[in-house]
Amino acid sequence: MIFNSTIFLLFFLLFFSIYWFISNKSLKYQNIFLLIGSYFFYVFADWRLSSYLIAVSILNYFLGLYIPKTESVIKRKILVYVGVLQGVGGLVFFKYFNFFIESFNQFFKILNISISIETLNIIIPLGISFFTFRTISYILDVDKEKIEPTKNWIVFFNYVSFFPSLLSGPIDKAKLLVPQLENPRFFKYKQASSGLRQILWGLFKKLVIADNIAVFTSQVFDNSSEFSGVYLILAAFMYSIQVYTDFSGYTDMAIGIARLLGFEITKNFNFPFFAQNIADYWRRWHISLTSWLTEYVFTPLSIKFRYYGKIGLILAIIINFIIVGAWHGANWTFIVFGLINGIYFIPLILKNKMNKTKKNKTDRILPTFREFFNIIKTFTLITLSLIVFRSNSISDAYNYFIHIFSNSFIATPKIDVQNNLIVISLAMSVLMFIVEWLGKNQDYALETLLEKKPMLFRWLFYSIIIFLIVMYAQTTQTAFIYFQF
Amino acid sequence: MKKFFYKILLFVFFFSIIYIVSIIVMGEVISNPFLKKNLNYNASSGHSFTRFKQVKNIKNIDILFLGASNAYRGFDTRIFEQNNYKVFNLGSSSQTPLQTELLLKRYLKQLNPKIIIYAVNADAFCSDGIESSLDLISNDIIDFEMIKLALSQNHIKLYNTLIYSLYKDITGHLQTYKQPAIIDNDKYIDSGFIERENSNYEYRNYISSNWNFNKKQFKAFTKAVELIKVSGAKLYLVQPPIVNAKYKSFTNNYFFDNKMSTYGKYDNYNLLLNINDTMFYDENHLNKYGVDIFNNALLSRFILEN
Repeated sequence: MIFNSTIFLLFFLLFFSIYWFISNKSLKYQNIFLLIGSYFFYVFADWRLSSYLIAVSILNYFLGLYIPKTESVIKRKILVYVGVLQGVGGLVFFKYFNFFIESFNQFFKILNISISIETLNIIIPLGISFFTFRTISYILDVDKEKIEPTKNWIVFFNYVSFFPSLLSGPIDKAKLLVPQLENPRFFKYKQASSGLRQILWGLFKKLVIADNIAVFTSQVFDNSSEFSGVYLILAAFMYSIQVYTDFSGYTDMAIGIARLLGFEITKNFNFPFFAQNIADYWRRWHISLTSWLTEYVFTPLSIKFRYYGKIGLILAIIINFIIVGAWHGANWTFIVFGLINGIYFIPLILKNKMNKTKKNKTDRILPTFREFFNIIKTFTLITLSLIVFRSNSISDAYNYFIHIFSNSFIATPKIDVQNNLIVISLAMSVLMFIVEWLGKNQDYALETLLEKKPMLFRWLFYSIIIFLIVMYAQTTQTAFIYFQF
Repeated sequence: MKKFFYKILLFVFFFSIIYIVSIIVMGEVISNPFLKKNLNYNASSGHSFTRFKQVKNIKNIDILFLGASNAYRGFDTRIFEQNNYKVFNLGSSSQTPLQTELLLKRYLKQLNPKIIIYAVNADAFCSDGIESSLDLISNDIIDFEMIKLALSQNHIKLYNTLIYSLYKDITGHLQTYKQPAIIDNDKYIDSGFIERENSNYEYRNYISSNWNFNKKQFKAFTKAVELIKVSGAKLYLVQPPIVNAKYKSFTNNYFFDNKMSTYGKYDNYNLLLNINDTMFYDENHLNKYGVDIFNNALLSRFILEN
């Protein structure tokens, strides 16, 4: 049940009505109903490992209750380790077990030693990377007394399985979501209409841009030897736009849906393609993941390595980014993607520029030449790393780079390409970037962009966006890229 | 909350007007189909407009042909007419059982055929049927059954095209438009057949694969067969030939043959004819030479039996 499906629309209309009209009489009933809705949503998407989600919730709920009550330091540490190890262990088992086995077999094959360990037929629980990070941060925050554990199991279960952000984030921390679950929620017109605007913008990005681009990029990445250099370069840049519009489109919808239910959840993107350098980019991209890793991985590591100066900082960054890469899945391509991005930070660290935020000047409509150059430079660096991210294997990525130069540069491709889709996606991407540039100082592009304009103008603008969706949406339903993570 | 719902209703009304006007403007002003991606008015070939216009004036025939392009390109009505049968070919572009059911509801009573020869190919039973619905929406009347079909298929292209087609109906397009008898290499022959001059298919390799059948199509097919049975017409299911290499590349042809046999008399001409590539102009369609061989074989095998 993905957000841009008719079945979700029907589910949400029914859910929204009962949520605000029937169950809003008491917070308890509203939360119970929210929990039922979240589990229904999860089971409908894939019922097979819903028991894992329940088991994780039960375990972490009780750990959260017992950690603060445990006076013995050792016992308390054990309880924290149980929570963290369960989370990390679950992730490693479900996502990486077969990867380790395959890599192990491959390693011995290279050494000409015949060892073959069978891989397991493992079903990966949907959204595991997202809800696991929620439970780990909850346990660590309870231990560090940053938050009070909730005694209400319904609240905790809702925190873990909150359906708008269950499958692809944002990864909300407990200090943000739990208080909202514990306090009565009231329908606010402004919040709800803002939610609708954000859903609309998310749908536009996903259906009109990401899904149309996907047709072209899939063709090119799956058959890179058949395409000329210019197509390979074009597909690489378009893939960067695809990942952004796909994931930020999903996030916009998730945040919008949460707003319709009276929740404010974590902002996940801050117009990353307007970033002035790589550090700036990663402060704007998948914010809930990067801030999570900054708090629980990078900061502790950089404290640990502080005596090694810049080398220590580089080491902490590299480890952090390898984890960022590995979080996406069990493939060397993700790890190399993380490593490349970690390496991108080295010049910034050496020049002491890592923490300097260059803000785009707000009083100008157009960027300065220098800003524009920096934006293009950052976008290009990210695109290069995303070639590895998108490829099925390291050798595929290598071949992709090689084919850019070895194939004829401007020859017509040997495979039929739907040029109309390329033109439509590029035109719509330009429109999106213009709107996002104009709205770059807000939470999302359409938040207050048209606030001061007359109602007729605003409605006309929204109608045009909906019409563009209706006219240019890719009609083959495509799953969100980040569902697989 | 009241304000929220009130504003939403108002916006829905506002957008509906913008939407309908924009669809009409796009349909009328923009000629490049690439720029109106999800509006596919008159998108398909196959002279459907002429065929559907003609069928409205035809009654009480001997043989009715149904099916997709391999029906209107595969059953030469002139060959059957030479044998003194009054026939009509109601095949249409990519017709699947979903559209056959609708066409039977629309025209079966009026045509009152004694025999129905239904070209069944596995391809149609795997399809979502969108392309064929677009063909019907663009070229025939819009009625309640058509709207019901579009709703059941729930596809944005169908809704957009339905709106534009309704506008065209209202403005008298069905009455005034005259489709040329020859479009590109296709010549429309009265009674629904489309003749393609002899040209030959170029051989290529096929990767072995399976037909992935769509349950919805079998459900609609059962209903279509029921309608035919109720009308009293004899049903003859025929699988017209496709190029040999393509046919053999599908590993579950036997499933389709078995399934079709349960519905009545069924013949698979991929197995009955001695097929070679010179009989085709593309992988799915017989050329003039192939049509002659196929139709004569069909006549001698079935029609003469009756």
